[in-house]
Amino acid sequence: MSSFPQFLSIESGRADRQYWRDLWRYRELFYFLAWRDILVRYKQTSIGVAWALLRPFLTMVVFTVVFGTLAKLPTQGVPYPILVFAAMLPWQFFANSLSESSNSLISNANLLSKVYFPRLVLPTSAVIVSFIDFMISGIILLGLMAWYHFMPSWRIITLPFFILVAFGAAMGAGFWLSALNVKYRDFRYVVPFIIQFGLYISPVGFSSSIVPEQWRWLYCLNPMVGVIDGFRWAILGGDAQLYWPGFSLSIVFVSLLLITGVRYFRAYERSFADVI
Amino acid sequence: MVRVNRQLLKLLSRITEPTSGRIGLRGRVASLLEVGTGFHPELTGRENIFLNGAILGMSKAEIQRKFDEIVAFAEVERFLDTPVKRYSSGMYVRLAFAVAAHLEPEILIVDEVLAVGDAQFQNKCLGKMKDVAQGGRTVLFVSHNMAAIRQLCDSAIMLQRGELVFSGSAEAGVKHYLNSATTNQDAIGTVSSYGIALTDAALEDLDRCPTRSPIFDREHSLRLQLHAHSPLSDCAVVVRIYDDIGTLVSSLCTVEEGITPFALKDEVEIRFDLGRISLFPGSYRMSIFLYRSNDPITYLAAEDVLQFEVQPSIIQDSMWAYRSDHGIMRLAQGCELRYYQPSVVTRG
Repeated sequence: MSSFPQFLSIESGRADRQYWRDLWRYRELFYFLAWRDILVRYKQTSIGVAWALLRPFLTMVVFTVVFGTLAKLPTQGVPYPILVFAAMLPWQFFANSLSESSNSLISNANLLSKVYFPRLVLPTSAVIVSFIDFMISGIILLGLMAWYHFMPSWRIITLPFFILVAFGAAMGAGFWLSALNVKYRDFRYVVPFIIQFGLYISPVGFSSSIVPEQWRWLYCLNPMVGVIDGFRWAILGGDAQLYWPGFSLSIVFVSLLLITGVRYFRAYERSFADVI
Repeated sequence: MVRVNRQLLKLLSRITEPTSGRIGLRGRVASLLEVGTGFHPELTGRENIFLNGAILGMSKAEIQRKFDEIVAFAEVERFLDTPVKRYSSGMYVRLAFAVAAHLEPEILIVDEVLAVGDAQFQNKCLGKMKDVAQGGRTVLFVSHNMAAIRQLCDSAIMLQRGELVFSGSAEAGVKHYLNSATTNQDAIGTVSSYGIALTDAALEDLDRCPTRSPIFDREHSLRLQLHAHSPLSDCAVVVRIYDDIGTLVSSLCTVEEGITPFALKDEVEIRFDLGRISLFPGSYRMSIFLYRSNDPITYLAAEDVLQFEVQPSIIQDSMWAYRSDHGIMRLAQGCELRYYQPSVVTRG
């Protein structure tokens, strides 16, 4: 939004630098799109924003009943709802991000074919919407901790780092899936399956320590394993252990996912308007 | 003035990237390819102004500054907090155009969006676009409406099949466009899905010479030649004549001219006697259709198949020869002048 005319040259195989500058110029669009999605979601509902709190709360109750009471999984001395919730927060964030961002390009097809803006804004703002949900759910966690008189240790200050990793994983996967979804609508059906399946192979209802030692590294290829373990380690403190080799592997994998995701998205971005 | 397909506009407004070649732009580009892009029906007018502004590339501060102006322009003050899904289509379009018109890009691409709203609002839009142009910014106006181009533009370019065929003043551009064979020549000889083809269409003068420049008030006829691959009964041909801004000027119909629905087999020639051309000098186009009685199907539609430019006739000693700006059609068949002299009664 410069006040002086700026010369811009569009050529086939445009310079990347221009793109990142545009992304910065359109930074407010991240906010506006996220704002729109949140506004629209609670229009014409009678309890409005209360749904944002109610949804994760109900899920937590279901999990506590199913895994804590019926399956009787070990809790390492921590109140079971907190054990579940510490894992469910990042998982819900990841799952919501994935389903929202993979659909973000298609549900905004009219924008895509009519107006120019850096397309990366769309899946990213979908992740931001999920992040806002994540923050709201975080309030429930605080409530639970107060309820059980649970005091976190110093490790809680490392939490932003794990949030960042979750962000990276959500965005990386989101870029891949949203770009693929433009061309192959099959992914509309693949994504819900990934989310459903992912819930069972991620240590949400249980602790990843129950996985046999020799398979632990393989298990860590699931990017959410590192994130969820990290969340537990930071929030629960005490006995919760972080399996460092696995965690580093997770980080490497998440970075790889993010970098290739951006690359793939950028490579196919120019044809979105024609294909969609 | 440009005749371009949408693809080029999409390239200019950066929606798609070119596969080869280069585009140089000085300043921010905004396009009105379709007004109201990004409006969300569930959101209120107020919310949509902010959302739409941001999508079109305005900053929040910029929108806040122009908010009142936008609302006043769109005339929707009373409904600002109503979801736009409850707006009438007129209000919706007005609001959408207002947001787009207040974005201050260095280059504004407008693609025939003026076909929306009532006449009063259209004039307001034209005025706004003139303001933008006079404020030292560029307006790229894409249209087939010659009158609007004459009114709005200084310079014009014309593209045909991806190539630049004219670049100069708007006035000269309009002329060039009208004179060039912009007719849909491909329609001649093309067989419709019902096996009918228009094999020839020509305007002919008294000597039966085909012409594209008939002279006003001289005798002409229209000759059409149709071919049917399999015989078709009860046929009627309708010719529609439009002026350069797309107004339907007149129609010719075989039935009305006394030809009962006829059987079309092999090659058939139809000749309409146009008499002395009563259309005022100017540019016109013809579309030709084939129907059958009691049948809603259009068996042949050859649109814009013929274009012609009526030339002024040179009338001896005329002060005011009929020109294109005198209207569309001559109504008078002639004129008589009589003096009434006071009768003088002589007494003898």
